[in-house]
Amino acid sequence: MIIMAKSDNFKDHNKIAEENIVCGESMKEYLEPRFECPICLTWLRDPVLTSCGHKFCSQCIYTWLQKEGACCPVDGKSLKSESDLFRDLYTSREISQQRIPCLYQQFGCETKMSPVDMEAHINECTYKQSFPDSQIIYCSFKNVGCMETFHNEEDLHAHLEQNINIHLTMMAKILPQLSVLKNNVNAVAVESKLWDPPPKNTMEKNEPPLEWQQLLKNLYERIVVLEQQSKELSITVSNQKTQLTTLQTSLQCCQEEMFLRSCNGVYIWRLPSFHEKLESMMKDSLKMFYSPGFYTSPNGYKICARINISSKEPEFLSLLLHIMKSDNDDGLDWPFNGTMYFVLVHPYNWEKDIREITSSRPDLEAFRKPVCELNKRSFGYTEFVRIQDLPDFLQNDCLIFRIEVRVYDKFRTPI
Amino acid sequence: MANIAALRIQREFKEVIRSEEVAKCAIKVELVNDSFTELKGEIAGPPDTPYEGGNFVLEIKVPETYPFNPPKVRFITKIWHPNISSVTGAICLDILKDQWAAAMTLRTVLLSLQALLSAAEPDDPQDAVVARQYKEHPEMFRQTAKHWTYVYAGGPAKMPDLDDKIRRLTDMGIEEHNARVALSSYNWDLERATEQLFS
Repeated sequence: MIIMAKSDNFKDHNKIAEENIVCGESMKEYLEPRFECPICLTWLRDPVLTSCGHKFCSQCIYTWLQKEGACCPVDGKSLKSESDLFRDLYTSREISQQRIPCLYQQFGCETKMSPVDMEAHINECTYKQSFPDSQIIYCSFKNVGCMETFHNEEDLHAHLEQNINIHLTMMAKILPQLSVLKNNVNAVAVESKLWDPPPKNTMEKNEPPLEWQQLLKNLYERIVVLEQQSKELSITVSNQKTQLTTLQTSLQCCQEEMFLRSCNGVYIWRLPSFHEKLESMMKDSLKMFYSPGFYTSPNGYKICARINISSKEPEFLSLLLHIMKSDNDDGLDWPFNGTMYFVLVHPYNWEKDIREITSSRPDLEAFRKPVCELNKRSFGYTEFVRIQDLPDFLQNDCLIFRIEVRVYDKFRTPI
Repeated sequence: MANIAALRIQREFKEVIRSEEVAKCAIKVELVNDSFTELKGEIAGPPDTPYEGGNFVLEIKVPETYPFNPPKVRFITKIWHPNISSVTGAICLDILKDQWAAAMTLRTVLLSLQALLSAAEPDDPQDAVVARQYKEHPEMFRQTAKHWTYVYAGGPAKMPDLDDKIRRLTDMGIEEHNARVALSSYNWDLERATEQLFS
């Protein structure tokens, strides 16, 4: 009996010792470098030893050596897959003797196995469940009272960017408390110095805590980044402003051009502040006013009107038309052939309008294809209206002419 | 993405995060998407170089064949360096091309780039203009690189005389970065830069 009991005890001791060993092995958190493949950074699978003394998974090193001129990934010595690689059964055996805990240990699985068996076990492990998406990340300003948490870095960054003011306020609130605290610490330190032997190595106590330094540093960094960003943005904005102004101007030009092109030969010429214009013409007998060039149709003739004081009869105002050069000219018939209506519009009573109609004459130079910007010769009425009659036609000091130019349509057969 | 590439990046990610260089704020890696194919790297300009005090952001794209092929790395922060394109940020570094080895990691790549900032290879240039300046006007190169570090990477050294020349061009309606490139390329010769910009 006694002997039996002794042997039982002995067995128990043995068992405990054995368990400790297994436990000690399995508690290793990180992979030992000698069991790690430098290519995939996991446990060596079917380890292979190279002639230069490095170990790799067989699949990893063979895949690598398929590349042209590939050398040892660790030291760059040339390797031939047929002669420089050897199966490393020794390491293979050592790995199969390692014991590591199941991947789902935290969910209750207590199985321990060699890395070689891990894959098979994981597939049938009854404790298998998915891990939470990611660890919870706390706001960097947790220490000053921001209790926000995040699941990824992006959310944290967005939060940091949006809440700079709130974080700064939190810091400002906590700073005075901190200095009070520091004073207390100093007071305690001074008191304790009376009792304690002098410290062996005097530490700098005025330095703010390390995490605060880090926090400040982060803040400075953010400020620099933000300043840079705002600088870049303001440059972009000012560039876009200039672009917008140019665009607006060109748009305005385009609209005017569009209007002049699509007026179908009917142009209402408004002459605001006419008195001023009249005076300048009186002073200088060569002074003339031109209307913008308008078109008889979008692809038709370009024409402008002109007024000036008649050189022969100074009490008359002349109203004349010039044919202008345009891109359409090559596709048009020359000399110009059509009818022109000249109307000085009476502001209140259309019966008092001054109206004149005339047709073009092929023999005149004025109707030939222009060779310069504006045909030198014009056509119209040199004595269109008496200057003394003009005030009757003014409304708000604005004079209005209507010019209508109709091109003779040779395709329309008279009925 | 092939499983091995994603798994390896996950492991490397932990390696970089744990490494002592991160503790010294010298290198940093961040995820851009969930699939580990795109990362954002950051390196500090090495001391005793014109890049000191600057923070340089890198775009890292991990190919499906990683680690058998190198990651694609490019500077996002604009930088003046003979082996880095001042236009695209493309890098001329052997280990990112034919000298890549499968045992290299993101950490070693970032440290190599830091080393490249310390020791340029003007005979194997990516940006010929910069390389010529580096060889022919070394002091001018230092000034320019320092200025770019200040403007784009948050470096410490402000250079009022260089800023002044840039302002002269921006006043003429030239975009600031274009003005800086033109001046840098012509050794800060205002006349020649102007000529080039308006020709």
